[in-house]
Amino acid sequence: MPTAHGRPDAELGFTTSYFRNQLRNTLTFQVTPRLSGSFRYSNIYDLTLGSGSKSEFLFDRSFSLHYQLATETNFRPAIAIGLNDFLGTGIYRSEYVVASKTLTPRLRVTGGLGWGRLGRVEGFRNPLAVFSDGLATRDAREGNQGGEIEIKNIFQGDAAFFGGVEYQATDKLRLTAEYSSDDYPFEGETSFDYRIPFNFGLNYQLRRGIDLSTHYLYGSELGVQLTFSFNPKEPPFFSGLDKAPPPVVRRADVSARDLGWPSQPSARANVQARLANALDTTGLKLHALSLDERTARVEIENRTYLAQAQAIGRTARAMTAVMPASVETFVIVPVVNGIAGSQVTLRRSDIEALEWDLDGSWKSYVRADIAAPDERLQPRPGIYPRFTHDIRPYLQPSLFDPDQPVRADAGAELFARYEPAPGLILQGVVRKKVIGNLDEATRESDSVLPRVRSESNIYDREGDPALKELTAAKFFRAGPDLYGRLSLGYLESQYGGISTELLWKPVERNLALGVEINYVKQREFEQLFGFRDYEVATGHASAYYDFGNGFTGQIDAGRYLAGDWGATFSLDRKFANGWKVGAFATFTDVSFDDFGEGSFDKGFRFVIPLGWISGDVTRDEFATTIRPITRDGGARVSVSNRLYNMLEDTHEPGLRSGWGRFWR
Amino acid sequence: MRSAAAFLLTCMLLPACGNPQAVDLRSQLTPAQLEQVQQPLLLAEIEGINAMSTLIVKARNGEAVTWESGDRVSLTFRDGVLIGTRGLGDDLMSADVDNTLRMLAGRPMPEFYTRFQSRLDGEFQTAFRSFQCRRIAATPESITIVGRVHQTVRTDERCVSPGLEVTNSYWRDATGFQWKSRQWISENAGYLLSERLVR
Repeated sequence: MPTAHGRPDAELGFTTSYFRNQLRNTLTFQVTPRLSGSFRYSNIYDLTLGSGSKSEFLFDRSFSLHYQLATETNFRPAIAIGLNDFLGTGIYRSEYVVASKTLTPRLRVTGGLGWGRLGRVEGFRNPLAVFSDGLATRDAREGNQGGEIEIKNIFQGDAAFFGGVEYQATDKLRLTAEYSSDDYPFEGETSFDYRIPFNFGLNYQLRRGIDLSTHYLYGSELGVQLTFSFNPKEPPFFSGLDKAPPPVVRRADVSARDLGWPSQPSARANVQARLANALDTTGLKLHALSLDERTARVEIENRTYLAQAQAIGRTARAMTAVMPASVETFVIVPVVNGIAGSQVTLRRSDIEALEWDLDGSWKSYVRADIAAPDERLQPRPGIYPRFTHDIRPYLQPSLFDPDQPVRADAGAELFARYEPAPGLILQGVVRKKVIGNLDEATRESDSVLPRVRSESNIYDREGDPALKELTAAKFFRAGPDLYGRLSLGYLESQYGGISTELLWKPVERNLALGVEINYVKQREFEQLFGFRDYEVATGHASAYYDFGNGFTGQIDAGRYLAGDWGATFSLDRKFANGWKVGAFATFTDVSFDDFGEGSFDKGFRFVIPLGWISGDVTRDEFATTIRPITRDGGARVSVSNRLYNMLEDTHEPGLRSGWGRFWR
Repeated sequence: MRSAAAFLLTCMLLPACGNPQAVDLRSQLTPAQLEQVQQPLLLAEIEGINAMSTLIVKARNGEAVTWESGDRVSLTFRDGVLIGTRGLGDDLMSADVDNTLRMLAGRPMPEFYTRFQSRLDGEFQTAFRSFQCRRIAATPESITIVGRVHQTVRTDERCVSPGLEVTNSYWRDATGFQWKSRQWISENAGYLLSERLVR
């Protein structure tokens, strides 16, 4: 039974519940304080679908949305509206309007009106039919391939009341009773014994974020449910266990600033060596330095701090200790893959004055000038050529195969990178599986499109060891606010070829526009050096917009791997601590029928910063995309270091949201 | 003895220095050891995370004096009043303690005065908190720090902010030199207990 209250803003909840023949796993994200979205993956056994046909079991994926129309006040209940399973095959399809009121601090009552599956027990003529007779009867569920929004069904047909009470008996224990208007039309005869519309539950909070509950359901069944919840806005290590930054060293006496130092031949080299060393100690790399009597310009590479603002703050601190007293202007340029992202100009006297100012973060942000870099420096001798490598573990999950909903491989990944010159990067990744069962996925593709993604399971099975990437890439600045990328080689596990990209992204703007054009050929399943026959030109025009309230939107329109044309719409909620939770959907000229199950490509994506989990200082993150099903329409090639993500945090919106860490 | 002194200067804060069981570091210190130390030395205990270390002066910026432990946890004070920490997790990012300093200096003050501080929230944005404070006690107290006795006056300051009430204490001798303090840092780091080992 739905209630009108949501979770706290940004909370993620994972619920798994079981009663006879019904296993449901639900992931819920509180997208905004009022809106939440859920994805549910259910295994239902022995259900009866439609006219007497008996189905052994069903793996069902469904989405739902819940929107709080009104928050609770002293006199008014919270009121919410919801849509369940409006995509997908629709066996849970229902709509509701619900109100909940907290009567005493321990007692809350809920009552609502449901349609569809929630309009079945003691249902009555739809009250909305006064507006339109068409709403009086609900059209039959069309049983499409899933994915199509059957908007015409919504709020149609009979309606019914549901309701319940929750009593918080102790701080940990909550008792619930509900009258459910869902009579389990598909499951209620064969799957379990549906007798009465009443449910009773005990919910116990094991610890903060973990709830266990048990229910007596429909007069016949016992069920259990476990809920984990946590909030990206509440890092377990607070703002992180970063070590103390280099202290600001204030110049001794303003009148004694020596201007004669450039005449000493060793002065520059000495400053450069001391700064490089100081930055090294704090986890940053000095890429280039230029120095005159008044101004020091410093290019840095930050592979340590999630917030570029923190890297800039630490660089400014280190500079106060080594720069000759006459230098008053610090220009700090974050460099990523050889590209200067922006330049941040700071006054040294501000750094000296604001280190321990109560409002030092905001004051330093306001006094900083953030702009496009207006000159490039020669890299410090000894930086290029540069070789780095790393051996690290990997985990590759595969979800929702009807034969086995969760599979995964784990193993070792060797990463190597060679940079002969600024912006030129040769990079390779090889994986060797150690353990896993991805090779058990034997389901054959039934796709009528070119099989551009639906044979991923064969790649997983055959590629051991696999060359995941071997590319040469060139990054460059193509003009004011214009950046370029050219990548060539084995771009990803399934495609090789050439990928080119241009991005227009002014430093201070929230809008960016890009174009990407690729010509790729499908790789052999073994993922060594060979190719298969399929080749295709793909490309997209993209628009990126940072709404400034934590949400970013992206539209990519163009040609996809199967040769289909269309557009991808994405919306991400981006947290300044590095978390990202987003959703996307792609619509192309492939018909829903040709696409097959799911009707169109869609999914969720998560980026979880590893430092959030451990408290450590790191830019490492775990990024994953969850698709209910992967098919061939609306598929894109995956390329390392797409420009927008690469540059985003060096530009104004990213620097601003991270500036709280400037003095950290 | 020299190595013992060196050890004191490079002590680590996390976990409690020298012993993960958080045995009180004070019990390992002797007046003779401290005689060897030729620079100011502070002992700091962070109650909320059960950690203890010695710290040395790392930097001075105007009135702000920053002390640092061997594993780069730092505490910054203005005339003995804490205005910042780094490396503790839920750090005190900044504080405006002008009124507390005035109160400790015995300057004329209204009964209630304001104190501000800031930390970073879960999304790393600056979050300010304001306190209403007042002096609640000033009592002579004789304290012992590693075998040495100091005649001090203990001044207690109670500070209240919505949902939170803390008491900061300062032990200062007749010259105004602060030998000991207990000051609130943040909800998750708790209180700092500082003792001056070497002046």
